[in-house]
Amino acid sequence: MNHASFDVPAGAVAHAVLPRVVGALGAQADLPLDRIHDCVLTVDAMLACVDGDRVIAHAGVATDGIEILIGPLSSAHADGAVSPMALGAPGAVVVALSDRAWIDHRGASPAVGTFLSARRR
Amino acid sequence: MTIPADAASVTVVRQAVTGLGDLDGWDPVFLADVRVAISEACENAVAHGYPDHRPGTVAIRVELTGDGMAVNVRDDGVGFPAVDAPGRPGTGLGMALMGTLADELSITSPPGGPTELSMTFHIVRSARAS
Repeated sequence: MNHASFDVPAGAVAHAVLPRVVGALGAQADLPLDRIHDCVLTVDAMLACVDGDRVIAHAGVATDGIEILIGPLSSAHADGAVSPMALGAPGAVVVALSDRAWIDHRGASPAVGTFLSARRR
Repeated sequence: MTIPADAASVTVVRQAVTGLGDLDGWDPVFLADVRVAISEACENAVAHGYPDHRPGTVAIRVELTGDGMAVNVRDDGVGFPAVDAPGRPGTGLGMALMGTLADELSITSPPGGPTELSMTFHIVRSARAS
């Protein structure tokens, strides 16, 4: 299964690179075009939740779509990142477009923060 | 970025570089050259570092410094064969290509690996961007 890991500066570089990469992986996963667009939008929303100077991301083709992990999140953003009730917040977009969204606490160091992921509906 | 030693993953690297080039306003021809050079470096790492489809990873680092860019491609595979090594075809053209497209090219690959390939480029931005 194809996948890639990234460590890129937060902000413009992350927004320029990661959605393209996820779009390519979505195509490799045979997602329909509208779902590839959803993936790109989801990544943009996930990036809005990141806290820090750099973005750590992992994206991979899974059995039923693609899985995306992006972090680190601040503890203040962690809940909102996957909250459908946060009207107008990035978390509402993530939840609306993905099949499943969660906060990942498996990071090696608590300082890295948490990750979130979204899958194909 | 890190990718598995799999030819299909090189597509992902090309997309990442394209995103970076779009953001930084690279000239389309320069972007195409960089895409070819980095693709070649990654494909070499996959094909020669991990022969017979053995598993592994390739790490790509891109660093922008004003008008310059440094690219480093590293694998922990078995090492890159010498260009003129007998019985190891297909190792010469890619190096020549990368050497032509990049301003500087260097490779260190002790027997048994790891292999580290470095390239530098002088960034050419499109007139519109500059």
